[in-house]
Amino acid sequence: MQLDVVVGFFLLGMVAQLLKAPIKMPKGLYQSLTLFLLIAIGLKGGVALNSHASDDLLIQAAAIIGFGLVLPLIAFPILYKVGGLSRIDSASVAAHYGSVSVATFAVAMAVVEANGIEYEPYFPLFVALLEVPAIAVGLWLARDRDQALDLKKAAHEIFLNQGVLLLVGGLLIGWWAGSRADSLMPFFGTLFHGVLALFLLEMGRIASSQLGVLRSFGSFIASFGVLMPLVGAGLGALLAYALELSTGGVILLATLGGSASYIAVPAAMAVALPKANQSLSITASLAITFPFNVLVGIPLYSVLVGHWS
Amino acid sequence: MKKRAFAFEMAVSLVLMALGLVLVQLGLPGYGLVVVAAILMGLSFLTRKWVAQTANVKVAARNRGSN
Repeated sequence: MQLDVVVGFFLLGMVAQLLKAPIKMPKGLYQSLTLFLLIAIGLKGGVALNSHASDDLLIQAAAIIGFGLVLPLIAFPILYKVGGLSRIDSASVAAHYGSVSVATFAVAMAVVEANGIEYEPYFPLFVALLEVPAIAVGLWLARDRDQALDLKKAAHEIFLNQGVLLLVGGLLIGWWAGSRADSLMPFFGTLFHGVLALFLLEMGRIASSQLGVLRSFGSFIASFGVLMPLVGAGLGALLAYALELSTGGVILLATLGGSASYIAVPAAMAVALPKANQSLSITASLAITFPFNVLVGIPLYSVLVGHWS
Repeated sequence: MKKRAFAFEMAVSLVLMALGLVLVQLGLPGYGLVVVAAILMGLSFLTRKWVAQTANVKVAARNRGSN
């Protein structure tokens, strides 16, 4: 299995930044591409949900939520006991690794589709379900009896941040519209890979520019940022086999388990845990885990799942 | 705590390297893991060396100041 063509743009962005070559994407365009990807993934999943809703889906959804609750509980002791991070920083980073990255999912979806591997078309529902539970666990892990948590404000950021809102909104619109959403698909469907390529070009540049920050945090966070995706991906694959998902489904759930959030969770944590070191979490998820998943993880999960299926 | 973190980093690097080599032996693409393991190991040593050097420079500067 070869790397998908969109990954080439990620590498181009990384190399350009390392060579200090001037590729500058307007901030508004980057934000527009993010909006496009969130809506496109949600819409596509919602349309599929319209024709695939079943009792089995409820069981799968419950298992996926459980998975989202467990991942930060695995990450937290490693960060707190082994890495020696503070309780709040450990909880914040653990929440990032329990949640998921929509961009990583988009790359995995592109790889699976490019290789003609079938997957459950309602998978974006699982992406939306995995976004939130880890944030709640992260807040519970960081609980401080001396400091009152503004629950209303935190809940607003958890459930109504841009990532969750657009993904769930797209899902609901797709589910409600069903085949009527076909009229939107020339835009959200056909252009998906091109938009993803542009998005990854900028992501490569951003990830590369974050690498220097590693010097401040030391090599522990780099090792954690590589180990945790492998642990999450292994558990995700096991869960997918237990739920009897298709080969593509196993690859996608492994990818989701191995990914770390850098859109939804940072927004929620900035409000709910203002004392947490945000750049530590962003560096780990964006500069380490995202490139690792795109360049090594997803091709590896795909080959291994294909080998054992 | 620092010793524990270093042991963790070495363990992660060695496990990744072993896993990568096993995959290569099986004819699967494990080179990525081997390269990542080598980078992590190098990073682990380099950052500690850099931190130690920075600390030495600070101590030397403080000593100069007190003399």
